[in-house]
Amino acid sequence: MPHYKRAPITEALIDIRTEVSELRFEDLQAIRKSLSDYPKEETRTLDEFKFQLGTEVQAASQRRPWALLFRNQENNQVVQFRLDGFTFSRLEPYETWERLSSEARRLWGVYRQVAGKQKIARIAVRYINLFKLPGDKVEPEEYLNIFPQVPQTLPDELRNFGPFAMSLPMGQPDLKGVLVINERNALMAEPGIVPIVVDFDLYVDDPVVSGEDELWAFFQRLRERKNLYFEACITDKTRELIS
Amino acid sequence: MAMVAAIEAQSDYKFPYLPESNAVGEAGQSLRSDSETDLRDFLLGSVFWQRTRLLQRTYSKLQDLSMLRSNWDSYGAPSPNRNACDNALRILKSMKLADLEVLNVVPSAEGGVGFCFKKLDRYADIEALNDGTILGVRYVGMETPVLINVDGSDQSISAGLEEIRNHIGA
Repeated sequence: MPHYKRAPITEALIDIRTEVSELRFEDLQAIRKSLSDYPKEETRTLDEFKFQLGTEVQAASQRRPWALLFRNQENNQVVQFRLDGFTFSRLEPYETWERLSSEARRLWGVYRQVAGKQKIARIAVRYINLFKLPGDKVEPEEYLNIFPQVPQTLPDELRNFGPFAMSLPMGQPDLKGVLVINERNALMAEPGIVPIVVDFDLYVDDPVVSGEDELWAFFQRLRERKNLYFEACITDKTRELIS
Repeated sequence: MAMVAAIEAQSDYKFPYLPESNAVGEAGQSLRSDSETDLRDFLLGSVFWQRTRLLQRTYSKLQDLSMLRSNWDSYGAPSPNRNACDNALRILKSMKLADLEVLNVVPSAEGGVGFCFKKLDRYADIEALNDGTILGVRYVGMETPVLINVDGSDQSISAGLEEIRNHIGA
């Protein structure tokens, strides 16, 4: 894939979900000492709500700590350590896959030291692109090869659409995974811009990988597949826009 | 056929929401459980989508505030006017996920919209007032409040939010 000078990537992330184990939230605290370059810390909680019907209606809610989130000083790298896994996000400006994956691998190592070797239940590579298409309205086929089709039999003045949201899961038999293309308008457009988000979320449940090298080689395959879809989904006009 | 950013002549158009279910009843609960799992999977880990979701909710609150009538507090407070709502929207656009997570949106008793940020005993707010001015203030516990300089420009709004972020520790 060519390198785009103005790559539209607003977030790229690597996610690893593990099977729930005996790991406790208190155990995650030990991670902090290995993250001096991520000085901003937050605790994430999970809300649980139980509702029981019967002769008496019973309801109970509980909020419990679930994850530790760390940001770097520039707020463009975010890592979440959860009781069921780990996510590393690189925000704008995106650099390279090599930097993304090597930092994710380093941080995954930190998580493994604390959490132990749990079984991996799901892995994902996700790239969220924000295209700022010039104009108050744009012809989708000029910029994208994937968009909602409106019947051509309708009168021209009735075929305009948006804001819209579309989610398209596509099986990836060779990877035993699913790539979901989420395409929608971004919130709060600037005048003269139609902002469209194209989010490629490629995940594999129960990946068959033995060892770290194989795991990260598999991530590389997911990234290549994502690139294939990205290139197929944009037109030359979009390439000009981001080059 | 054209793709548009907004539909004219439909001011009440609701932006397509991320999947959420408000179904009720036993069957509804099962639906909601599935929907919440889907939503969690969708949002999990993504800073961008989490921000979008919070932005959506805050934007919706802002729309509600813009419809307040005068004397909404029964003490004669004016309703937020167009100036205040437009400026509030500019402030909202500059917010990052960390800002939105500790945010509350309230009408200002002086007329306008206030964004309040609170974490433990650290507090800050930035208000878009009906006369077009933007005021910011920050303090800790019972200490004397410190004024945040915002002259109304986009740069000063971003700088003001950065100051709030550092103060709150977001």
